Amino acid sequence: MLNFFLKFLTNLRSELLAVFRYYQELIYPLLFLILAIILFPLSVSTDPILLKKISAGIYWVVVLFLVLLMLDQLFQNDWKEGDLEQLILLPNELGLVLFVKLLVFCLVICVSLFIVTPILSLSLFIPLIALKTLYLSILLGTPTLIFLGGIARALTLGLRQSGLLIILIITPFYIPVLIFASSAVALASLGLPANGPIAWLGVLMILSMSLAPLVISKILRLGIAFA
Amino acid sequence: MKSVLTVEDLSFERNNRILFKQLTFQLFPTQILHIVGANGSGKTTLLQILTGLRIPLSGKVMWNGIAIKKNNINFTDNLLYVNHRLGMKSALSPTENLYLCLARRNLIHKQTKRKAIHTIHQILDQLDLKDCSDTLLTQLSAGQQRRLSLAKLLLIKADCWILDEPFTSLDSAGIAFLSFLMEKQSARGGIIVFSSHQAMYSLPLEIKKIFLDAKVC
Repeated sequence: MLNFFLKFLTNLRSELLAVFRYYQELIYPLLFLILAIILFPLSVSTDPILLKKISAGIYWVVVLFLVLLMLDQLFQNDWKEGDLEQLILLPNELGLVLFVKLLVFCLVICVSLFIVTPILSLSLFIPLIALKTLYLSILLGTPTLIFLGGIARALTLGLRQSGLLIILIITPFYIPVLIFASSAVALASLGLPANGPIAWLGVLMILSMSLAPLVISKILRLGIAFA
Repeated sequence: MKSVLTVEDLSFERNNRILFKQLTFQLFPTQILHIVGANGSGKTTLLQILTGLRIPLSGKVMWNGIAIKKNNINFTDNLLYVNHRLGMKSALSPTENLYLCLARRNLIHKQTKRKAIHTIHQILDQLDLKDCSDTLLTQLSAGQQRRLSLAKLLLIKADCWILDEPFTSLDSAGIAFLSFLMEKQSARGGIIVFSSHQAMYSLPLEIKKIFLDAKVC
């Protein structure tokens, strides 16, 4: 057990180091998020009543696009450097390391979303009472998006132009998350309890976080990526 | 003596062209196999099949008499695969990478962290990489990165080495060092499969050869 934790921590430390040493790659998506959200008040209307009605949907659609954009980078460096190949050859470790890699990816996106959300929610007129629910929906929703996206990423790893294909494969599976998350925020901004959708987001998160690494390791070990 | 690595009736095609067909061989402890072939003749593919990364069209690869698909963990614990890719994280330093490598193979708990780091430094010293032990891999030259990929051969004891073009972009000292490592591995009773497009390397050992000819279509 101790050994397992030691391994987990060593892997986590190296993944975090690898991510933060390439921190430039993390800033672009964040800027994309800010720009894309600011476009809506500029182009649709600055009318608070109208924006309040559609802001939850807008916010979550933009978050979804952000995750889709970022997915192309997931496993990209590991694949190019051959780190993933070496991991496939260690079948005992593959699931754990994939989990750590996806977790780090989640952390990066969640933390950056947490930082910019207060400012962006102001520009979309999301009321302050809904902010807590918005944070909860990000915390529970984005891991599902990323862990599911990892499956699509693993399927398209060997292809040269995979960006658009990943989006086509995975977007249909994102619809439940999108519905629950945006309805939670919409309910909260009307002052209603949003426990139901939030609970569903939690269920989806637990399912995807526990099962996706296993699915991904099976896919990788099938050897599709080498064809 | 029992053969450790047995290949039976292996075949593979790419774009409707047969790369190899009914390939059968056995490797016994201490033996070295050299796969020779022109570019595109399927050397890398063959080696990937031997490691189990790629699945052959027909036939099977066996380790100690059991197919590697069924006996995956036992085989991969004894396998070191080095190819043209780095096999490490370029955002980390050589020391961090090799430590991660040990941790992933469950070799840390036998020794303390300080001792493991000490061993890693000794190995980097042997490879003339001591000065770069804390530089990030992206800042190392191609030759230095190749040398570093050899560090794994020193760090981890494995009975089966599969090396894909190990001699490329190494200087003469590096080639001599790798040859020395291969002799030692063979003397220890391990087996080596390696590929290159040149047929000749001055190893003072007996080497089996397989020629993959690209011209047979």
